[in-house]
Amino acid sequence: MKTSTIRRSAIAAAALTIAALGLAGCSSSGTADSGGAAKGTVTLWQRDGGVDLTDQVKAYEQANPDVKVKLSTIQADQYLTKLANSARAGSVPDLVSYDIVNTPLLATQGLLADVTDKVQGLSNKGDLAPAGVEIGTLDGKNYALPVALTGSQMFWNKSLFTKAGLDPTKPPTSLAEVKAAAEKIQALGGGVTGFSTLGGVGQAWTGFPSSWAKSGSVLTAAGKSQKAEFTSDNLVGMVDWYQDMWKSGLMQKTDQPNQDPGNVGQENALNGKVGIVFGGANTLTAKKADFGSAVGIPGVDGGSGSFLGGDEIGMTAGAKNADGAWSLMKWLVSSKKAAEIDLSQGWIAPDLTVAKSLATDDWSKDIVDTLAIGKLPKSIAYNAVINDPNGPWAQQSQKVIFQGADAKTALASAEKQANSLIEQAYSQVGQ
Amino acid sequence: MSATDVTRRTTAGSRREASRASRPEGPDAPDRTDLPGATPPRRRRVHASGVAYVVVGTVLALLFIAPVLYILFRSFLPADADARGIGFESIATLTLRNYTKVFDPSVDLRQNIVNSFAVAISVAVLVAIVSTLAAYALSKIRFRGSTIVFVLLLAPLVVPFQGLLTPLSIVLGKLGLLDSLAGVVLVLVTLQLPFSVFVMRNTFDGIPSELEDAAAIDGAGTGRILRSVMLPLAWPGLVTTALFGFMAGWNDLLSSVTFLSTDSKYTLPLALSSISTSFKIPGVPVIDPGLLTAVACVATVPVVVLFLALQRYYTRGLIGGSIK
Amino acid sequence: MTAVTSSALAGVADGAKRSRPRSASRRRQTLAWVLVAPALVLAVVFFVVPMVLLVGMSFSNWPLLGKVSVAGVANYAQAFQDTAFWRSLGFSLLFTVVSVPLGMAASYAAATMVRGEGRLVSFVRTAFFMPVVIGFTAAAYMANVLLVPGTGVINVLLKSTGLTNGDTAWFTSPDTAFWAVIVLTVWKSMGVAMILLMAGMQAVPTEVIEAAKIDGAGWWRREGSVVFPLVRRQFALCMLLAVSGSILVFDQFYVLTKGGPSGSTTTTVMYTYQQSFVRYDLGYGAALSMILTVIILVIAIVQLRALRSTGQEDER
Repeated sequence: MKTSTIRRSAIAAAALTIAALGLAGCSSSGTADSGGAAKGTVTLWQRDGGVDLTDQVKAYEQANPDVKVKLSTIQADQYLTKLANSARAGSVPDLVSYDIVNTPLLATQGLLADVTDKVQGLSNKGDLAPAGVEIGTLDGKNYALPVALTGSQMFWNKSLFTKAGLDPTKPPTSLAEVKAAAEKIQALGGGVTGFSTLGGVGQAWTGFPSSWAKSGSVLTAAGKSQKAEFTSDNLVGMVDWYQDMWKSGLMQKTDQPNQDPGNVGQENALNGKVGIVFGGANTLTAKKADFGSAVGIPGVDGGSGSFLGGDEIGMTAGAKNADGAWSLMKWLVSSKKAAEIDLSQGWIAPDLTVAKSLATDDWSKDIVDTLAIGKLPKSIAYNAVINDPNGPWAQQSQKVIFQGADAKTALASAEKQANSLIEQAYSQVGQ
Repeated sequence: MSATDVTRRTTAGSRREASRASRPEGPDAPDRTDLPGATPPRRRRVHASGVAYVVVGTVLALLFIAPVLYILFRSFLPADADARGIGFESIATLTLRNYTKVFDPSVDLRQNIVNSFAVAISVAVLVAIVSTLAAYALSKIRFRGSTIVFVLLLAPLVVPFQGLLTPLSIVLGKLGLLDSLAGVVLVLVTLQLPFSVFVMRNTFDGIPSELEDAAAIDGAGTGRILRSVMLPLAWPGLVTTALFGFMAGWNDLLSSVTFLSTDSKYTLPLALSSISTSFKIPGVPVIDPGLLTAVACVATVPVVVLFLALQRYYTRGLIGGSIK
Repeated sequence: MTAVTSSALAGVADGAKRSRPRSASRRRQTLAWVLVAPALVLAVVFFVVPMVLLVGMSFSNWPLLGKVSVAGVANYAQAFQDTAFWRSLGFSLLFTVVSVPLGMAASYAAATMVRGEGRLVSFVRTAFFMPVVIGFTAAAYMANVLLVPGTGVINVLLKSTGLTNGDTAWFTSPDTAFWAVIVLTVWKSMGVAMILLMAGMQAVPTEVIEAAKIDGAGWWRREGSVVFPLVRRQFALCMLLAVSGSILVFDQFYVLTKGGPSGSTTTTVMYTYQQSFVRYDLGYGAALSMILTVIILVIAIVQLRALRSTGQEDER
């Protein structure tokens, strides 16, 4: 190399280091700079229906003018397939932000890069939502980090509570109490529904928490001997309760084929026509003044549980711009600016300490506390077993809830099917 | 020179004959000749049996287009029109707001519309050319293997396209055409071949070979035959093929969804289906029906306009030689 | 292509001086192959090659991202035991058995209405054909807007005529979902068959009709004994396309019901799609696609045979 080139590179490196240090000062988390300088283009895929990172990315680009981010929104149900096709064709995006429940599948199949060293070097790694980090871990190595989180919670319409003679500051603490309150509210008449759930195929998102509030889980530990545990008393109890609510007419009627209240339910809730709502905070943020919020969802016999949802972000194994990718990824999970933007959209930043510092009202505080107790089943067959509207969990739980089938037998059959699907999934990846 | 003159005369003559035959002439029109597939069928005048037909016909026709008209109407109404009830009073609330939003940079469907146009036009042109060439050969030239070729070109009709998505992704990936509009166009053209080749072959079948032979005897080569003899007569079929090709390209969802992964390349149906992020009432995470119907209209209007404009062609084009 | 064509043209021009047999010269044969080449290339690259890959996939264990391995006939064996698959096939066949007769009847009736001329007839013909032009996605979303329980205009109309209470959530129960999709499909697809049948009807020579009239045959008799037999060929062709199209139905259910509720409206293509893109068992999905292709091929061949034999009957 010529001397002039060496000198130029040295000056460039110095300038970049100074810039990087300056940037580090801007982000209050003060993360230590590790790795090379970020520049060039970073391609990022996000899922349609998850966190929309457009504004976050714009803010990052302003703070890092050397980096250009190409953001693509992929339809949720095509996401993994497209990713796989791109991987086979040899051209993957640098970063992928996707539904958190899919993390085990991506990690196991070698799509994500091992970022253990980088993650261990993160100064705020202890503040990141534990369940979010755990699900991105395989054999002790880190492959993904949470990027925007939400947890299922219980909300109630304060004015409807008051009208029904209930104390809006004393929400129900168990499913039985929820029913009692719903009955009173429904009795108000005028097209008001006592209870509604907002989304979650087969009531996984909002139903599971009630079953694991005190203890228990839906699936055993991930790995080839993983088994589904659908016949526990808690889960049966949860499904029975929903069946009862539906039969009693206390549950919001739906317009979606898989019985999700969907659009109609959301609209009604936002228009003040629903008493108690189980759902995610980001669906009600616009009208949060009308609603009281609880930490998590009441359990079958008390206690609270929450299903941790949102998006996880990881660097792909074939990423062309690894440095740029890590820089963006780190910024998204650490910077205060990102956290602020997340909050404005109703999502919570993965760094719970930062999130808490930004939580100015009870609404935001409750979400952060919910995330702390948030759990989620970890399985590479999650999609097939639980998410799939035609999979065993969705089908059988819907049979019980909406068609009055016997819970124990239905869930037992679902468990059997689920186990065979899990076995198949693991044998497919050679385990 | 004489050759071309004769050709021109022959063509003009047959063209005149053809158009005369298809113009409504009533009971005095010439009977169907015995020449196989000679002239396009003359229309039989159906005396619209009076009031019954007018009433039933009009009612049914209106019923048929009512949904589309309603959607069109709804797209000019504000978001909360449903809650207030839609009726004649709603005319007072007509607004262009939905459409300005559609073309507004924040929703930004403009790029999607451009992409859809690009794909649709490319498919139309490509499929018209490719299928015409192939159909001419299949219809007018008896060559070894023509049946196999015909069957091969029509085979995609029996295969579920969804099953081919992954293999096609692999093929496109290997060709470097994944995540490209060109790849989508090529796949769509291939899928349109069955219909197009069928229509064009029928069309060519309906053109008597005597015309061709006459022109050839006068020394015209295949290229000129195609251009001066075949093309004018096959024009309806050609337009039909292009029109249906345009429709296939414009309306396609599955190919775009599967093969594209960059926002700026997405086509209109794709944008329409990712309604969860685009079509929310601001501040409220609920889908805005006014905006949704406006987008549906934008997705529908160009094809409808095109088809209305080219009506007389596709009617004759689909008929082609199916009288054979 | 131009270079080849001109030499071919030269050759053809030579041969043109004599009487030009259509099955003739090698040059003409070459020309034919040149003309079909573009179509063939497309068909091979974007159809045949993927088909071959599909066959290969059906005999493999093909996970989403990992290594592909040979699975022999395991996928096919699994398919034959898969009750959900056969159930979905049953549903598709049910859909076909309902939608094809309805669609063909509607198309035939519409064809009788629009085979004349006149401004009104033109208008009716245009109106009947218009739904064909709309894409299935847009049509499905329109259906969604029209059928929203409570406020959707169709529900409002049904409520005002007292037929329902206006709150039907069409897509939450398999029966209402099924019929909603049938209506949507017939509405949307009727136009093409209508035009094809109309063409056939217009080709029926008037003398035959007049003769039947003179014999005192009424409209129904004329239609059934005179017109229909003469358009049988078009009818059979339309039915062939309708049947295979119906068995392969996907878009409407994908957008409107996603196969629900509880998988009760899952068509066979949808089931296959789910195996590949929800359960990520791509080898199995491929095997199912192959089985489906064979089934449709058999049905198509049967129909073609039937068509050919009737064609031979009334060869004029």
